[in-house]
Amino acid sequence: MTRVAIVGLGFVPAQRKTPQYSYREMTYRAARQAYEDAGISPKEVDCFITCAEDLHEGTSIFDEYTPDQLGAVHKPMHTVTHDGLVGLACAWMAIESGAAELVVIEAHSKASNILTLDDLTTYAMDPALTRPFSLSPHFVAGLEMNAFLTQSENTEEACAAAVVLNRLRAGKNPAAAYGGETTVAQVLRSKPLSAPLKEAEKSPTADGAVVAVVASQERARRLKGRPIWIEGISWISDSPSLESREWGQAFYAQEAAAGAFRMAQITDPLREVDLFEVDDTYAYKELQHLEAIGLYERGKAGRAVLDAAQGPKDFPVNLSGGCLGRGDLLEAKGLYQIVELVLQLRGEAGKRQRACARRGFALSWRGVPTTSGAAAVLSKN
Amino acid sequence: MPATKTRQALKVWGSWKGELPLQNLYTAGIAGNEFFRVLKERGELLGAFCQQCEYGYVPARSFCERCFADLSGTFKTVSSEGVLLAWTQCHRDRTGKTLKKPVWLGAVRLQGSSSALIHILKVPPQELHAGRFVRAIFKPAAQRVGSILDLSHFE
Ligand SMILES: [Zn+2]
Repeated sequence: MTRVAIVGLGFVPAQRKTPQYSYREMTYRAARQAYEDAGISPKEVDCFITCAEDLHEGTSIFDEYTPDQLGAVHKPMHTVTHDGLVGLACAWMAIESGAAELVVIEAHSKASNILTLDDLTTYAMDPALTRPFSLSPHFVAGLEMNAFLTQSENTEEACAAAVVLNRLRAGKNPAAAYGGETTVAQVLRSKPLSAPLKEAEKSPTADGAVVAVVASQERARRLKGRPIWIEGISWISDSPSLESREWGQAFYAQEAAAGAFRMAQITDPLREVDLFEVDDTYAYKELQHLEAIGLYERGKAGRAVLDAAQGPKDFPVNLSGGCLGRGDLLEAKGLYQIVELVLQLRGEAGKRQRACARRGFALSWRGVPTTSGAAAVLSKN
Repeated sequence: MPATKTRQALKVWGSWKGELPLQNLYTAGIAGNEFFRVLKERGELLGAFCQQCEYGYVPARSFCERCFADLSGTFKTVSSEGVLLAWTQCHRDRTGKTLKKPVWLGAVRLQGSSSALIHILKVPPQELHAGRFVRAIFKPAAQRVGSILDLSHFE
């Protein structure tokens, strides 16, 4: 097996709205930056991958709209209808198989152009069993939050603290759209969305684009950039059906993380990994995911988040501000986690730089109503 | 490819408003037909049972998602009583608009099944707890059409 590395990265900072740019121009900007970072021309790339979903784009057969902004016209290119971390896994597989040496992946969000996102997400539900209720798709998160809090005995205050902490941290991240100060009381007082889930506990959407250049060890050696190695990568789905999934437990997160840790030969993540980006599309998800990946015992993540929100504590989780602080970037969520890990591991994270960051972990989740997650371990050495 | 309707001129930064007018049929299938027929005709809930996994699915399914067994010969009705696993009070409709009256939803495990049926819940809030006994209330036979809403709610 060859080692596989991220050798170039480009991204547009997450923004609440981007009326001045088309998605193509945003992706083009990120691609130019990534190619310059890696010191390559798109002509050298063996294969290109976009992660996108037709209905989010408002365009059917969207995979036909992806090559030009990446310099991929006349090149092998395909679209993965999944989170960006699964795109990273596809790049890894293409290289491991020997089919490619240099692969480019891209994911973007133009969420501000989606005028009916809740309605669109309702179309992801079972047409006969769930859509007839005609209720907001966030009810799935409300129901799961209830099950998670009941089973784990974590508290609503601890979930609210994740919002406080992540928005505060986002204030130090120029690539985050929702940095700011808020309090646990303010979060708890925000309007109920699907109780116990509150409006302020749902990540607001943002626009952006990320492009990453991935290379084999051999190819990476001939490039100017500092490679960040993919040591582990794994993805998995639990039951798609609301009826037969495990309510309250993020089985997909547990299994995806276990797969990535196993591949990276990590047995004690808390000691062997220096920073974690874990999905927090809804505030309770941060706690649920931290327990599912084995960082905390059941019921213990809430205390850790509360403590971290109250004062300076060593809590290397979502230093970027997560989805709550950065914004929900749809299928680009996972690649924005990769942005944070790569910047930290290169020592380029500015005011939020973690000292001695050698190894980082990311866990993405595709959002309601899915039970699909992906995990990656990246290393500087 | 469905047509995109362009109906608005450029604004300050330039954008067009369009829509995708999509319509579909969704085939219920053999298991789905049986489930909805039993619900409509008898006011009962039909499940499917995997012996190997010791797992009961409600609504009935043609195959087991866990071990991949064919479950087509295993359909039988389950109790309309069960226990509450989780609940939520939903304040928005499918478009995101605030509901005048919020709707409670529950995940219910019916006696004799292993899965959770998600449906409208009418239980006094102070009585909500995991494991609470609930029963399915069906619409009167004359009003049943073969929809999940033939089950009115759990109480
Ligand atoms: Zn089975």
